[in-house]
Amino acid sequence: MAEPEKERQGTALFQSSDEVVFSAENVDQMLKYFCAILFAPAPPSDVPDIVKLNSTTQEISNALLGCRKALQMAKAGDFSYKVEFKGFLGGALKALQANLNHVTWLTRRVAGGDLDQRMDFMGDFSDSFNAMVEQLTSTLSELKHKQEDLESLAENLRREVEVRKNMEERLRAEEERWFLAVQCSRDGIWEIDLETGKPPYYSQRLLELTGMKADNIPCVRAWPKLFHPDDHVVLQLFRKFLSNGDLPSSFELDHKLLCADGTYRWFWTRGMLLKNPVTEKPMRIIGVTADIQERKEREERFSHRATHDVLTDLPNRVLFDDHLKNSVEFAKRNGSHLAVIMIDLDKFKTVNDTLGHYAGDILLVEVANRMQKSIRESDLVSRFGGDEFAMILAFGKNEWQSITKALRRTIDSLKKPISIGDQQITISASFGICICPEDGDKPNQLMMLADEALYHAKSVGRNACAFWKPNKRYNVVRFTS
Amino acid sequence: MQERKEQERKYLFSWDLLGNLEVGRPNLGKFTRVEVYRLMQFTLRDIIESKFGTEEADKVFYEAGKLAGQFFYEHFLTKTDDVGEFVKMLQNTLKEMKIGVLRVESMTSGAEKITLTVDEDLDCSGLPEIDYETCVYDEGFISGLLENFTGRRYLVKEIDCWCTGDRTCRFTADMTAD
Ligand SMILES: [Zn+2]
Repeated sequence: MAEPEKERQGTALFQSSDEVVFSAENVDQMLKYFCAILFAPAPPSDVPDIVKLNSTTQEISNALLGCRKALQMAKAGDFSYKVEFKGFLGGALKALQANLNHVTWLTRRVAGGDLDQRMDFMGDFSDSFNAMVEQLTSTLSELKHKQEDLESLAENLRREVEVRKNMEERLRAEEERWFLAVQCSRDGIWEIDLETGKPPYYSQRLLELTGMKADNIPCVRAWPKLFHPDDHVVLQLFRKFLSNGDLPSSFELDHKLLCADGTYRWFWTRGMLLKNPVTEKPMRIIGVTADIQERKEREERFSHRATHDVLTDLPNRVLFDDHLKNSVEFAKRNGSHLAVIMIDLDKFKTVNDTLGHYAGDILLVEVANRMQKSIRESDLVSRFGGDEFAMILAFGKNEWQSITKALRRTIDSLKKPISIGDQQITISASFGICICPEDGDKPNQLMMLADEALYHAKSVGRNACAFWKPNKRYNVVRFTS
Repeated sequence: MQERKEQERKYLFSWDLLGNLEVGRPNLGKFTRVEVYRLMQFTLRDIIESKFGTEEADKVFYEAGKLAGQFFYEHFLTKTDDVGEFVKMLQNTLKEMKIGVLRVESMTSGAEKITLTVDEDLDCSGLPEIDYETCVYDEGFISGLLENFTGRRYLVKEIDCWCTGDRTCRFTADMTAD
C-alpha cells in the first residue's frame, strides 16, 4: 500500500519509532526550541509536543537542558548539579565538575596549611597550581624564619624587660633601705657627686651633729677651713684630693670639725670612693660621719690616768720613762743636753708618822705644785711614788746656767713653809743629778747614775744636791736650811 | 556462600604468595600489560558469575578488593594519622604503580564522607560502554585502604563509571557504624 509522499518522506527523514508525525512545521518548532535552549537568555517554558512525544528528542532536550543548568551553576562556582545523562557530553561535564571539586578540595587543604598537596595531570592548571603552592611554601618558610627571628627577638626583649624590672625592683628596695638606714642612723651621711658637680648631699643627722644648716656649709673646696689646723692627716688627705683628685678607695679617720657654735668637736669619718667601672673615673664619694667627742674625752681621761699620779696629777713613771726616751733621742740628734734629777724629800716618813697620812698627802700635793711651777713647760717633773720625785730638764749647748736656775727655783720653792691645818711645816729635799750625754746616753744608765748621785747626797746629810762624776767623785752642793 | 575455617583453607592469602619478583623476573621486571590484568579479572568474574550468580560474584570481587586494599596499605604505605599525608601518599603510590589517578573531590573533617575520582582506572578506563558500574573490585580496594587508615568501616560505592559513559570513575565512601 502506497503511503502519502509527505508522510513517507517524513518517516524516512527521522526514522522515528514513536509514530510521531514530523511535519515541516513541528520540525521547525523543535529546532526553534533547541536553539532557544542553546542561545536564549532564559530556557523556553513551553516544550513542543514533538519534543515531548519522541524519546530521542526528549533525551536531546534533557541533555541540552542539563548542560545549560550545569554550566549555569558552575559559572557561579557550584559544581554540585547532578548530571543525569550519559555519554561523552555528560561524562565530560561530570569530569569537569569532579576536577573543579578536586581543585576546591586541594585549595582548601593548602589554605589549611597542608602544603604537600599537588595537582596531577590537569595541564597548565596543574602546573600553575603546583607552582603557586611551591611559591607559597617558600614564602611561608621565609615568613616562618622571619617569625622565628621575630620571636627570638621578642623573647630577648621580654627577657631584657624582665631583667630591667628585677633591677628596678632591686633598686627601689635598695633605695628604700638606704632611705631608712639614713633616717635611722645615729651617724651623719654625706655624698659628693664628682661627675655632675651637684651640691653635696648632707643627711639631716649630719646637720644636727654639726649644728650647721645645709646652705651654710662651705663648698667642698673650702672644707679644709672646717678641719682643725693641727689635723695634719685629714688636711693632707683632703688637699691631695683637691689638687689632683687623688683619694684612696676607702679611708677612715678621727678628726676635729669646726661646728656651728665655733667649737671643734671630735668626729669619726669613713669614706668610700666610687669609680665608674668602665672609665675608672671617680664618680662620687660617700661617707659616714659620727660624733666621737665623748669617746675622745673618755679616752683622754683614761690615758691621763694611766700616765699621771693620782694624788699629785704629776706625770707618773710611765710617762717619765717615755719622755726620757724621747728627750735622750732629741738631745743626741740636736747636740743639746738634759739633766736627769732624782729627788727624795728628807724625813718625809716623820711627817706621815707624826701628822698622819692625810697631812702627808697634802704635803706631797703642795710639793708637786711647787716643783711643777719651778720648771719650764718643756721640762718634766714626775712623782714615782712615796716621796720620790724625778725631773728631766733640757737645755742647749751653752745653757748650763738654765739648769742651775731651775734647780735653784725648785729648792727655793720648797724652802717656804707649807700649811697643814694650823701647822707650818718646812721640808727639805736631796737631789741626785746626771747629765746626758756627758755622763751617759742611755735612759736606764742615766736613771742609775742619778740614783747613785741621790744616794750620795743623802749620805752626806741630806738637803744637798750631788752631781754624778766618774770614780765616785760626786760634786756636792749643800743647802742651808 | 559458606565461609570456610582457616585451617580448612588451601589458598589463604599472604603477601609471600606474591613471590620474589627480583629473583623470579630478573629480565622481564615487575610490570605486565593492563590487558593481562583485565583478562584475568574478567574471566574469573565470568566463571564466578556463571557458577554462583551476579550478586555473589560482586560480593566476591568487593571482598577480594578489600583484602587487597588492606595488604596494599600495609606493604606500600607508611602509617600516618594525617589525612593530607595519607591522600598524598596514596595518590603518589597509585600513580607510580600505574593503578590510576586519584583525586579527592570532597571530604568531611573527620573523613566520615568522602567523594573521590579515579581517572585512567586500571579496572575500567577504556572499556566499552555498558549500562552498569563495573569497578566493584575498586570499591572493595578503596574501602580496605580507608579502613586501615581510619580504623573504621566504610561502605564504598562507585556512582559514575567509565563503563556507563562517564569517562571517569567516581566513588563515595561512607563511614558506617561498626
Ligand atoms: Zn569504573
